[in-house]
Amino acid sequence: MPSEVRRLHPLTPFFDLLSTVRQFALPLVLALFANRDRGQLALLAPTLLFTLGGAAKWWRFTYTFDGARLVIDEGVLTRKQRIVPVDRIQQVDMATTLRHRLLGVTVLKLETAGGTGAAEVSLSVVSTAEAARLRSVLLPAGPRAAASDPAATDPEAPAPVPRATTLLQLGPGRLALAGVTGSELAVMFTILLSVGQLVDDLPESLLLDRVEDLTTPSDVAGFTLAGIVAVALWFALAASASVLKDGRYRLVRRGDQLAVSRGLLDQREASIPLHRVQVVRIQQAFVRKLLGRSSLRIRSSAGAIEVPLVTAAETTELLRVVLPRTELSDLIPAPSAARRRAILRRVIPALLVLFGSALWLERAVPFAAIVVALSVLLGELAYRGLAHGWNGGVAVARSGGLRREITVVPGAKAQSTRLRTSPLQRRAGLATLYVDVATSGTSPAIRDGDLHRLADLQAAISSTPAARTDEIDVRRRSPLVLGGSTRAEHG
Amino acid sequence: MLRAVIVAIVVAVTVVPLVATDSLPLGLLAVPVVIAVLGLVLAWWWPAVRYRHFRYRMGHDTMELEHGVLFRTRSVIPYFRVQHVDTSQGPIDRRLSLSNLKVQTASPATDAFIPGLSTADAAEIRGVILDRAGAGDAV
Repeated sequence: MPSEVRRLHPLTPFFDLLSTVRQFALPLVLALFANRDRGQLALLAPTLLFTLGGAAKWWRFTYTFDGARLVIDEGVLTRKQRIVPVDRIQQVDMATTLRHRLLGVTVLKLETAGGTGAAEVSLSVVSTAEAARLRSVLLPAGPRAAASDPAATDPEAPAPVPRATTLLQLGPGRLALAGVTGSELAVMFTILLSVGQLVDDLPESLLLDRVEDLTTPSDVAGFTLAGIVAVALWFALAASASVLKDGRYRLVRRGDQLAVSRGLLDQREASIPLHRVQVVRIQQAFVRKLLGRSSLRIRSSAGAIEVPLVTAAETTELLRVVLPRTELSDLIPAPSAARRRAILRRVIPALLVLFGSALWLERAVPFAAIVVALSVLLGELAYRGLAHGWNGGVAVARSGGLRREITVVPGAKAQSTRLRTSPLQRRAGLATLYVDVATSGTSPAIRDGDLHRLADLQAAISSTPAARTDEIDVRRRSPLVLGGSTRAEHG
Repeated sequence: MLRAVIVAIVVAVTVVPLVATDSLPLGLLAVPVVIAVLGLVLAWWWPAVRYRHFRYRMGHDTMELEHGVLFRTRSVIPYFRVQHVDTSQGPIDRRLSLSNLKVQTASPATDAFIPGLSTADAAEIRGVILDRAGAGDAV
């Protein structure tokens, strides 16, 4: 059956115009003010030009899907064709802002991975129904019919979607807790910076009057109350930011797909095939650790799914789905030689800072004992956090004292391994093992482990039979076709 | 050595005018000289040390590299993970009939770079890697 040539939603030129207007908002406003009488007329020509250009761009952008490849043709003056074999698609995201939702459209983003980089295909904008259909055919949750199979159903019809199993749902209470215990707290600094910049621009007299009104509390109670109100406001802002960003958070499994939808105003949906998960990072900031909570980051070669806040039981359950043979208990602690390193790594910089500040501040010296004691404590905590495991072909690396991180890597996904030793590590019989996977950023690492044990682990990971099966599975996918030449790319 | 010479030149360009105008003590002229001398000594001695600590092995299923003097790294790359093998030659390499070999996997962090091979060896090693990289398809 010949596949239908489709276009993006007819509202696409309108959204393109909107984003252009947003980019040039300031110059546009200035132009309007500068030429009050003729300003509107002066803007008419560029607006017409943008609209006509947008319409031409929309007309020229077409896509077809024949069951095996998504073919995109675009470009008005310079024509481009992009061919994406469906097996190269790692992640399918839907991003819906408020204005998209009001008009029943969304932006569909496809992430592919190959070699050392990730490529993105963006369909902006399509109707929500078309986005759902595309997602189900491009990243079906169940087995895919062979493209060459004559008995195959219409490649453009949505694949039958297995029932979704909800793995996790986060309500506003939990998201608010995530906000006040996580990185959203930093949002206050951004706001303070913006307010500071705004205040700089205000006339001084206006500012002085206001500041005098605000700072008349003459007693400690007044300042304390102001402080409490400020902190409460800070926490409320962080909680609200988290709820806005991740509101209506829902993580589901549909066959082989892991999908997440989140966001109150701007809704985003992302899905990754489970067999493409490269590494899972579990993070516990200090306060979250005290509350028995963590956050997760599930990474594939082309993107990641974030899980803001989960309990220990939920973490275990999620790992059972994503990386079934993971064992987080029975980890091997770091050798005692690593304790000295962990402590010295914190005490020495602290002493250097103290020494530096003592040259200027005599008062720094009495603090030396407190600083050293604190560094020793932090070093001890960091040492106790060091551990690793290798069970059922899954490597686990744990590190961190106050802020703990556990990294889980299936040996089947290891592209290469590196065993690294510094002069001090060699003296102590320690080493760090890096397991390189097909994601960007730093490789998962087992730090300050016993040298011989990690050397054996390196050999075990390098000879995992599952790794060979994984690579063959990847290679059996169709090659990426680029402008007539072909090269095999990893997915 | 080139970096040492560049640093020496930059420091000299900064220091010499200041010394000439008596803004800085004469002794500081020694700084760029010391940097240049140190650079020359290192350029003579360091490469031999690095060479002694560089090894590679083409195993049956994996290639292994060991390199580094102070910070030593042992990399293991299974052949079936190899995506491409690149060889490169700078102008001095071409004069001396040398080549550098770099192996890429799907991970940007893979560390598999062998410098200073003879061109014939580089071609042979590349052939071996690519043969063994393709061999795993039949299962």
